[in-house]
Amino acid sequence: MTAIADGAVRQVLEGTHAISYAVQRSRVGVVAAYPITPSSGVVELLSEMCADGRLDARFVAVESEHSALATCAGASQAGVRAFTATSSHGLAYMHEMLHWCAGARLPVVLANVNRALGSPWNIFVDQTDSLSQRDTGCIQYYCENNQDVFDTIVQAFKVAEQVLMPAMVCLDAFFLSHTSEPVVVPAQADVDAWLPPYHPPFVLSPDAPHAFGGLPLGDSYMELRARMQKAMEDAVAAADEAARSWGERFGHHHPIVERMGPDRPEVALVTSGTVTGTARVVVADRQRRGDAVALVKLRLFRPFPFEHVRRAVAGARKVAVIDRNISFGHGGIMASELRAALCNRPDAPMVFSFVAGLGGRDITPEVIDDVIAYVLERPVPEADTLWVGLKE
Amino acid sequence: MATSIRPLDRAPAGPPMAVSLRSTRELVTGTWRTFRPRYVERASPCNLDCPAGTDVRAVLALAAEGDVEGAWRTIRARNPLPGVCGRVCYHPCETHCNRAAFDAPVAVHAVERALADEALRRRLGPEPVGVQLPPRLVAVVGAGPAGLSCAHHLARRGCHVTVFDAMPRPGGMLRYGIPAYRLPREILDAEIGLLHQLGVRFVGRVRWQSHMTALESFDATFVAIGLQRSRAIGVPGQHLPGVRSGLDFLRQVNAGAAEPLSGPVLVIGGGNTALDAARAALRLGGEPTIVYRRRKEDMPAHPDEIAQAEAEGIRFVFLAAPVAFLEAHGRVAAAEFQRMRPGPPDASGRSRPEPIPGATFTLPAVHVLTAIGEEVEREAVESLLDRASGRLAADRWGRTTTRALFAGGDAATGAGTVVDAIGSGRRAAEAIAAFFEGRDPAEAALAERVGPEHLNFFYFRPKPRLVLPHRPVASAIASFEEVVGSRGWAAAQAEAARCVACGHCTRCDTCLTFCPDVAIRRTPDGYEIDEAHCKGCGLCAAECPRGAIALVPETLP
Repeated sequence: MTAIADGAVRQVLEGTHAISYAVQRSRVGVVAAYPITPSSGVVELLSEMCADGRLDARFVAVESEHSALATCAGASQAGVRAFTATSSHGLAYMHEMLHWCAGARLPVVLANVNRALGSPWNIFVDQTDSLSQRDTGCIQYYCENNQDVFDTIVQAFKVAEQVLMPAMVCLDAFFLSHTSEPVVVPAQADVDAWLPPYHPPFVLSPDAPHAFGGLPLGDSYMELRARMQKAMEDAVAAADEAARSWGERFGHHHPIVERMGPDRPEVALVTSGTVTGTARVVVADRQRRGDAVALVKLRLFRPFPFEHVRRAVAGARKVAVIDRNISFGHGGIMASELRAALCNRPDAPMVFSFVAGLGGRDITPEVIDDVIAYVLERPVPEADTLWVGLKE
Repeated sequence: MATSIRPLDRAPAGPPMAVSLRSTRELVTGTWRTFRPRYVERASPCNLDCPAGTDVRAVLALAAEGDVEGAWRTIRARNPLPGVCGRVCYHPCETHCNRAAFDAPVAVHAVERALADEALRRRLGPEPVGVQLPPRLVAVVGAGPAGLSCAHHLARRGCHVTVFDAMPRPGGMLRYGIPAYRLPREILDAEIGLLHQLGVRFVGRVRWQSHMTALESFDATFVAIGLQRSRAIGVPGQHLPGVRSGLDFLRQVNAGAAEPLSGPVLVIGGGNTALDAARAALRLGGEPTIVYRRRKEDMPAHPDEIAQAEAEGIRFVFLAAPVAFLEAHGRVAAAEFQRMRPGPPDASGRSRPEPIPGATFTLPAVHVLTAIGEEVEREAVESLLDRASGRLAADRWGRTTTRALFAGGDAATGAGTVVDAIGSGRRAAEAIAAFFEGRDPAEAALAERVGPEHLNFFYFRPKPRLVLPHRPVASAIASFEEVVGSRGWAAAQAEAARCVACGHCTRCDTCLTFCPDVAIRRTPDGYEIDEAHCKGCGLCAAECPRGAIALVPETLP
C-alpha cells in the first residue's frame, strides 16, 4: 500500500460517500438535493455533515430536482459554492436548469450516478442519462473508481470556477455508487491550498444590485453563446492542468484522456467508467500474448478533448469504442463523437462501435476479449453499430 | 467580404453572462406601483373580545418570554382580578382566537391563571399610586367585580376610594355566589388584599338606599349593586317550605351556613346559578336534577360548566316547565312539570318553548331551588331605575342623569359575567376621572380585526392546546376543593408561546427575506419600505405570517 501525505486519511468508502467527503473538503456552502436511488447516499451523508457541523453549509431539502439545481443556481449566483447530486430521471428533471446554469455561467458541480432511464424501471448503470445532457453546456467527467470519484469532484470545482461553466461528475450505478473501496481523503489544509475560494466576477447582492439574465436580443445573444463555447474550449486545458497539478500534489494521476499500450497498435480500445478497470486487465493480457492492443480511457467527455483523443489513437489501424449508452436512431454516443473527431484526417482509423452493458448488464473480461477478437479478425465492421451479447 | 467568418480563437469582448454593468438601483421601479404595502397594527380577536379590554396579545407575548411580572401587570392595567378571571371567566378571548383555524385556540385562561398564581407565589405588590390634587373622595357602592374594578382603577390614579357593601366582606357574587370549588377564597382574598394595599377602604353591612345622605361628602359615587334578587317563579306552591331560590341557597353555602342535604333536589333553570346550585347541592349530599324548559343547546350556562356538571353525575331534564310544587306533610314533596317542545325562534334567536297539550309529569323533591334569573332590587334604586329594562339607567361609561353619580356592573348592563362587570367598572373609573378633570372619557380607537384570512399559517407548527387537569369526580364531589387544577408555570409559558401574535409585527424578517426588490430595510422600530424601488408586488403582505402588512391601492397624485 502506497504512503499517503500527512493529515490524509485512507478510508473505505462507497462511491456516494467518496463524493460526500470530496464536497466537504471543497468547502461547499450550499447543498440542495432531492434524493434518488442510487445517489441518495451522497446527500444523506452531506445532510449529516451539515447537521453535526462537519460541513459549514446550508442544506436545502427541496421538493424536486429542478428546484435542487435552481437552488444551487441561486447560491452560485450569490457567490456561494454549490453542489447537488442526482441520477437518471432526476437529472432529466434538471435539464432546463442545466442550460440555465451554463448560460448564466454558474459553476455549480453536480454528481450524477449513471442509471438507466425508464420505461421500464431500471436502477442499474447506463450512461444515457448524462449523455442526453451533452448539449447543455455542462462539463462532463466519467470516473473509473472511487478515488477517481473523490479527486474528480474537487477538480471539477476548480475547472468549473476557472471557466465559469457548470460541471457534472458521472459514476456508474452500484459498481461505484454502492461499492466500497479504499479512498485517500487528503487533509483539509492541503485541499484548501489547491482549491481557492470561489470569487465570481459578478455576484448577486442586495448591497450592489445588478440585473442578471435579462433579455439580450439577437444583437448580443450569439456573442454570449460564443463566449460559452470559448469557455468550454478553454476548459480542456484547465482540466488537463487540474489533473496534472492534482496528481503532482496528491499522487493520484487521472489524465483527462489516458492511453495505455504500444505506439502503433492494431486496435485502440476506447472505454469510459468502470468498464475501463476491467478492460485494463484484458488489454494487458492481450499485450502479454503479443497482440498489438492499446487502451484509451475517456475521462473528460465535455468539453470533448479533440487533440488528446486524436493523439491517443494516433497510429492505430482500428479503434473500438464500447458504449454503455445509446442514441436511438444513431448508435453508441461516444463512438459517434470519436468518429466526428477523426474524420477529415488523413490516415483516420476504422471505427468499430459496440453497444454493451445497458441497464447494468455485466461487461465481463470475456465480453471485452470477444470485442477485441472481433476487431482483430475483421478489416471493417459489419455495421455502423454492433450489439454485444444481444439475445437471439 | 462584408461578413466576418472566423474561428473562435478569441471570444468576443464583453462580460461572460447577461448582466447589467451598472447598478439596478437607478431603475426607479417604484413608479410601476399600483398597490402599496403598509405596516399595520391590526387588532387581535382576543383583545377586541375581552370585555375588560385586556391587551391579551401583549400578555401572552410577555408570558412567553417568561416575564411574569410584566405580563401580570399588563393584565392589571385593565383588570385587578386575574386570579379570579383565570378561573371563572368564560374567556370570550378564546372564542375567535385565530389559532382555532389552525389547530386550537390558545388557552388564555390557563395562562392568566398561572400568571396570577405565580405573581401570588412571588408576592408581587400593587403598582405605584398616582397623585391627584386635590385628593378626590369616591364612594363605590357594591364590592362585586364592577365595584372592585372601579375602585382599583381610581385608587391607582390617586383617588381616595371607599367601597360599601351590604355583605360583611368584599367580593359580591365572587364570594357569595360562586362556590369555592370554582374559586378558592384565598385567591379572591389575595387579589382584594392588593386593593387594600392600594389604599382602598372597605365598609361592610351597609345597604344602599336611594338618596343616601351619607354619600354627599364624596366627590363622586359609583353604584354597582348587581342583580341580587332571584326572579320569582310564580307557580302554585312556590312559598312551600323546601322551595327557595338558588341564589339564597348559594349565599348560605358560601357563608358556610348550609346544612347537609339528602334526597332529590330539583333545580329549576338553565343558567350558571342553576349549575352552581346543583353542583353545590351535590356536594352537600343531595341528588340534584336540573330541569330546564328549553333544550340543552339553549342553556345560557357556559358549556364547560354543563360538561363538568354532567361529568359529576348531575341529571338533566330538558323541555320541561314547572306548573306546581306539590305539598306533603307541610313541605314540598314533588313538582309537576309541563312537557314543552321547541317552537319558532324568539328575540334571542333561540327556539321558544311551547307546551305540549296534556303532557305533564311529576318528579319527587325534598328541595326545590329556583334559578330562572336575577334582577335588581328595585325599591333600593327607585330614582336610578330605567323602568323599561328594569336596570339602572346609565350610559356605556356609567354616567347617569345625576351629576357625580355613576352606575355600572350587572345592575346597569345586565351582562351577567364577571369580566363584563370588571370592564364596566373600569369604564366608570375613566368616566369619573374625566368628570374630575372636566373632559370626556377617552378610549383608544379600535383597530381592524385580524382574521384567519390575514394570516399565513405556513409559518406555524401545530401544537396541542394546554388542558388543565380536573380533580377525579369521586373526590371532586366530596368537598368544595377546587375542581380544576394547574399544570404549573412552565406549561403555561409554553402555552403562551402558541400565540402567533396575529396582527402584530414581531420583526420576524419574513417580509425582508421575500422582497424581490430588496426594498425593505430594518429600522430601530421595525421596517421601512424603499418607495423608490417597491413595485407593490405584494409578496411581503402575502408572506407576512401575522397579517401585519396591508396592501392598499396607490392613489394618483
